[in-house]
Amino acid sequence: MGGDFVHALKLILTADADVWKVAGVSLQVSLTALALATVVALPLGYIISSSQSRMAGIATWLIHTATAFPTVVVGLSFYFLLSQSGPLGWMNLLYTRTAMTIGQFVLAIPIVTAVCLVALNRLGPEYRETTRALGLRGTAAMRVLLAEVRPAIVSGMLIAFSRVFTELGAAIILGGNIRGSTRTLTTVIALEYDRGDNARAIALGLILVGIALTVNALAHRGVRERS
Amino acid sequence: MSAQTPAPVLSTRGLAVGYADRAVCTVPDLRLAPGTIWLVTGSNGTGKTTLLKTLAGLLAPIAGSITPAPRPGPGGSVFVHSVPVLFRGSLRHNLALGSHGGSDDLRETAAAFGLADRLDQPARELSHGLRQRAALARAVLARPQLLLLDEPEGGLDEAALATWREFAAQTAREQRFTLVVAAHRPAGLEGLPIGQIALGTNN
Repeated sequence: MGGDFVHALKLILTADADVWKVAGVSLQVSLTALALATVVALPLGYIISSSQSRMAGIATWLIHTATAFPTVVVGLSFYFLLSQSGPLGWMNLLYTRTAMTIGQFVLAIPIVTAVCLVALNRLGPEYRETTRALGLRGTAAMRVLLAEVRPAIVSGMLIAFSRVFTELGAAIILGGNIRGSTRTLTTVIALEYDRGDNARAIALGLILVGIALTVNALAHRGVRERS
Repeated sequence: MSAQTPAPVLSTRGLAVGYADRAVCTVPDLRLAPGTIWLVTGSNGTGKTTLLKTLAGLLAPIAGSITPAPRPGPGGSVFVHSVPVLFRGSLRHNLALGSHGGSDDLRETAAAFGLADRLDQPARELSHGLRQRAALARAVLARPQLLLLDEPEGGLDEAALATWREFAAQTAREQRFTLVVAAHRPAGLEGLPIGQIALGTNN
């Protein structure tokens, strides 16, 4: 095992183009999914937090529950939808990066929504009263109140990124681990482990952790500078 | 309509204010003429803030009626909290939020409240007194018909109190809007022609 680790470090230092290509696919799929999920999650969180109806309570419960959906269940659900015999089979999306992005998008939405919702609910009522008193309605009020909880939104996005970037279930079921196309860091780690190439699996795992750490550090620095 | 009795900015009949089914107080019938100043008095918990929020259209009345129905926002009723909320971003961003006028109007109003050099500062970094002034400037920029201030003189130092007194006196002179102020004492309104709305507890 110790030998595997040393070998892994050597592999990182001499990483071939294939490894960086795989890392690039991982980043592209996860960042696209996160960006799209944020566009949906922020208005969703705002609408739920603004609602006085009983549905808001049910929606909050559903969102919190959805944060714990197993990635493999989301992967399987979309597999059945996108497979040739499924209702969306005609779109020919199965085993593409788009399919993986859809899976990760669905995994990220509840996390960003839940964190945004909690942060908005913790703002005192005077924040909303002030937007109303100044005549801010609809998207104008939403922009002002979401800006108030920006650090929380960034945290939510980071948690969601960590979840989708490191998930395996949806990526392998919806992407199919096709070399040069849908192979990501997690799917290739699983493959190398199956093959018994522990050093390569560890090397890729370390690269994965390194990228996750870098993204977190950059985001935290961005929040500190802007607040 | 005769010239002597202009239509009131707002009048109430049998008004009770409160939250959900809990009435906080009943309010004597009001008739607020344009350009007048009113002081809402009463000890803690008598419903001064609740009345102001109801007149501003932020809370629905428990009973009775307000005519015309309050319309929160620019050109209508603007309520300012006793500890005003300034949002993330510069003072300029905050002043522009409810503003109807252009950037000249914003600069002039900021100058009138002694805030001209601070427009690009983060609003959250201003002192308590400056934040009170900023909230007042923001409310004035919304060109309200009815301006409702909850304890605007609370926690102000002498310099800020002087600005507030000057603002109140100017409001009385120019009669640009109807001003309703909730306070324990008439701080800053002494010597001005003001009407009084006295609240007592209901329970």
